[in-house]
Amino acid sequence: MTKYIMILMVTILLSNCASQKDTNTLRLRLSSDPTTLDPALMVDVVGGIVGAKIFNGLVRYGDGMKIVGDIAKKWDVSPDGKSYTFYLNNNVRFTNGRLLNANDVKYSFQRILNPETKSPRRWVFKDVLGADKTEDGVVEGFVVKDAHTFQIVLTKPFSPFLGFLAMPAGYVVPM
Amino acid sequence: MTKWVHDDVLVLEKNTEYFDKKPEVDGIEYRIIPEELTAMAEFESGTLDAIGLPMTEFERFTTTDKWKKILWSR
Repeated sequence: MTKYIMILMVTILLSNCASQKDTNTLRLRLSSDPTTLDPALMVDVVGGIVGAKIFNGLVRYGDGMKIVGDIAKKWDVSPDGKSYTFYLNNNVRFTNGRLLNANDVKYSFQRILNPETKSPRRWVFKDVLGADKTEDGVVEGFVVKDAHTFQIVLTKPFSPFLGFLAMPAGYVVPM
Repeated sequence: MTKWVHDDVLVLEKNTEYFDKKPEVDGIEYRIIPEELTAMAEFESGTLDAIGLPMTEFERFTTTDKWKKILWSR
């Protein structure tokens, strides 16, 4: 991998060019236009860079590549390793102002699996119960327990699954 | 996102109602600059705040006092 060094200008240096900059907006470069900002279709790095600033998933990667909560404040895994229950933060708002609830999570994940979406990331959810037999886009393994509790049931235990949920395909969009 | 002019600029604005740690900046302006050396020149003239350093520029930036203090890597 090409080794890049990030350079960050400090505030003192920024003030040297006050004539060009009078707001607290960070000015960065992208090497190309993102191909899409739809998390279901996103596969390019540039799209991922921007998407990560706009969307959240149930979990994300924290320091040391450790999976930490994002929209989900905590989760349980059943003893058989097949069922994940996520307890969602109840104060997450979409940029349209509406509060996020478990139905939005269900909608977002079903949308990835729905063949009509043509998502290149369907494989992320392929081990979810009923992933290959979606009728009207409904997937049996995505269960809304209550407004802030969401369960995912897999057909077999698959330990990397939690990490998959931190990918753009795991971002939650408003239904 | 408040603006996206394809192949030109994409602007994000902070979400003041964000549930987690609040952003420290008001927004991010991403300019789409395919050519690395163009981006380099923009950075040096102060119109970009941060940039990935190309390999070819590594020595110049790591040996210049003005720049080496603000290099950050991981």
